[in-house]
Amino acid sequence: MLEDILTGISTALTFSNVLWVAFGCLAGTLIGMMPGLGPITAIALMIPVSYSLDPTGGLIMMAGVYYGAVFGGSTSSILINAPGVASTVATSFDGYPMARDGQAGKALAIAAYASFFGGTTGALILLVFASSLASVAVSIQSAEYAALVLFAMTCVVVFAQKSERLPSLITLLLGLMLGSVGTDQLGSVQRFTLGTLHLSDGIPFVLVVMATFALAEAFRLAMHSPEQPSGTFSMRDLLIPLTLVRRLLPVAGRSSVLGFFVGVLPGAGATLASFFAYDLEKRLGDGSREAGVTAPESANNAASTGSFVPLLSLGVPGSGTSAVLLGVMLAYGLQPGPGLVSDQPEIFWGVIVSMYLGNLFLLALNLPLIPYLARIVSLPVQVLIPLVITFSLLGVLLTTFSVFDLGLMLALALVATILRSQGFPLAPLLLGFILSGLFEENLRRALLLSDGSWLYLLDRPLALGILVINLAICLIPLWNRKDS
Amino acid sequence: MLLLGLSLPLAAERLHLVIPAGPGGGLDATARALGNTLTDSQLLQGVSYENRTGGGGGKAMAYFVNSGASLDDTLLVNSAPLIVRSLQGLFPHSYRDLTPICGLIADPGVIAVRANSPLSSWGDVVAALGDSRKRLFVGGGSVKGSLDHITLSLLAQADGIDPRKIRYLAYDGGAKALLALMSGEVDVLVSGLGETLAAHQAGTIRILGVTADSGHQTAGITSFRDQNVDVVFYNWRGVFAPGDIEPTDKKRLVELLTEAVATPTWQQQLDRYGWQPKFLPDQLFVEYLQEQERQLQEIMTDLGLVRR
Repeated sequence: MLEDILTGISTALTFSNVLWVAFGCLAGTLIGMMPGLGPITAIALMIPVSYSLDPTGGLIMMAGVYYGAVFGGSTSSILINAPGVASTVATSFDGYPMARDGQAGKALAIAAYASFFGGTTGALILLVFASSLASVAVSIQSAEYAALVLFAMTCVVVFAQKSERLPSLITLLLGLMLGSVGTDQLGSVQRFTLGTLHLSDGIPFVLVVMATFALAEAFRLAMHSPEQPSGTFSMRDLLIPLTLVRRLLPVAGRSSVLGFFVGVLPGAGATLASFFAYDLEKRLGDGSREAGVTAPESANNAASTGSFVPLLSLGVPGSGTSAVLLGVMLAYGLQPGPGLVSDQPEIFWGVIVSMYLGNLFLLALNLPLIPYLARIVSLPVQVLIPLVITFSLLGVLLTTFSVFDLGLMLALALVATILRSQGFPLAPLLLGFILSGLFEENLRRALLLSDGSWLYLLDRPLALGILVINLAICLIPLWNRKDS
Repeated sequence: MLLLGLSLPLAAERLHLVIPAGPGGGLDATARALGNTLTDSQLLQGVSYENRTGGGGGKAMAYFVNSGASLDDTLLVNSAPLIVRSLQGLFPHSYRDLTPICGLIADPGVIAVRANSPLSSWGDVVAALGDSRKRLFVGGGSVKGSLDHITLSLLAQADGIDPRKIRYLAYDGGAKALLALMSGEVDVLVSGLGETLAAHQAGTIRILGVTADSGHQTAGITSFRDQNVDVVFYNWRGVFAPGDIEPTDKKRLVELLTEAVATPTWQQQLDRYGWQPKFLPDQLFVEYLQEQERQLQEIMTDLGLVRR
């Protein structure tokens, strides 16, 4: 074990490999900061560069691009309410309001520290348990996934403020409906596609997130001409007071461990992890906005490290991003899996050790940028709104090349703006949209396995446990009513 | 070098490859491996790529068919689902609207079980599938009616099992289906050789047969044909030019790709990804596509996916 780690250190600390970590992190974090662009795009853009490197250097760089993009992803969520990937949606819940209140620098700094904490904690768990975690990745089946996703959806409704519970439920259901557009994932049936090819793969995530978050917010700013967030942005924002650190450290610790283990599960690891961490801290923790930024950011960075477990230990990618990484490894002639650890330990351990170095680089890269980035918020709305609209349109056009999608996005943004002005929160809508495919697919598979019997969900102890917790939190509102 | 450059008959300096899928998948890897071969062996100066996703490949197809006349030196990379989806009528075009240039590689289907499974041969699987008391589940990496399900149906039908009675579970990609086999959710996996060979060699799963002409000797996998199940079926990957391409341009592209697959770089790419070469230039490719379309039409009609 110790010998392995030393092998890793000596591989990761060669001059060229240090250079590649730094380069990968820089590229990843810059691409990740762009609204609408996430880790998959970042990795895909860097594939041509990786071909010219040796396997170890190339993999170290590509891993850097991956967690660099996750690290940078929080920036657009916090500053302009435009999360580039599903896993940073939860960051915008508290991060964006902080930015509008003139605390952009503080929110960005907390996000950077939390990402650093999550990334390094994840790498530590990976280092110690890498080879023994394979069983976790294959321990849960369709019934448990369905129960877990249901749990995430229950939390967002039950934990909403009392007056917002019914509106949250309604928008959650709207999100589920939006998510059902497209080709049915089990039976190949076209649903709500109006007979056009444009809708047969469903509505793209970028489109929905830009319409309901970035554009709806830009429209609101345009209609209400709110007060300009004031405040100076300086290096002082980067210093978090010791009392706050003491308060946030346990939050980051809990969220990182939670995030890592949810991230190990193939599927929507990082997304579910960030929502769970956010919900847990908002309800069971102190509920402050600082904790609301810390929790999802620690969790999603730890989860992105956790998602390496199925890839490195079983050779099977658990997420879209690690599938792209698998392609990169194959292109180098490497076969990830149990064989990699024994045959080429220097690559396996080198990549893991490089993750520490990478997270240090990311912190060093991101912190000095914060005072400059934070100024985006203080742009006059007359400049900010056109910027947000342009970025949203570009983000969608560059990923789908479809003018139809632009029209759909504007229509959706309009509906979202009306819903919001009537007091319907949009976060549950986005959550429902993100999770609908995962929920339906797993629930229907579980039901096929039991020939249609719902009791099957109760036969499996883990699924039953999750469902009981689910039911219990549904009772929380009733309990509170008795109190008052 | 200079002489060689001059002797090539007006070789295209650059090539643009349209990929009807996102980055990271099999089609994307094929396109990039081909591009690398063309540039590394200095047959071309540069190759560019465009991932056009959407409509199950239909958007890339529509783009290629509609703006074909204006696309110079542009090729579409595609695979067997092209035929499945046009037979199903999911998009209005078929390979006939394109000019087939060549088939490059072919991935045969496999049937696999967990290493410790009591099912030790395809015969055991057939017996269990035919026994209604044994609730056997088969997992695959794509929806009902697409390649994995069709591979399974062809095999079942050859052994007298009604494919419509099999309990098939679809997963979002071959990787998740493989994880489901490992987790014990399904008992049998139907997938491609490329995606499962590594797990077979690592000893986590056992491949019971492969739908190729012959088995894979080094990995100790026998073909279904050698097990007296007469099913040969490949998921090919190949390249197409727009439908209205000039015959001289087509000839030039076929020659370029014939040169490319003969290079050591291409061989290296095949070894890395574990791909089985199946180079079918021009007319051979057209005949192969016709034959596969006939085979697919038959099984899909039996499955009720295509109306006669």
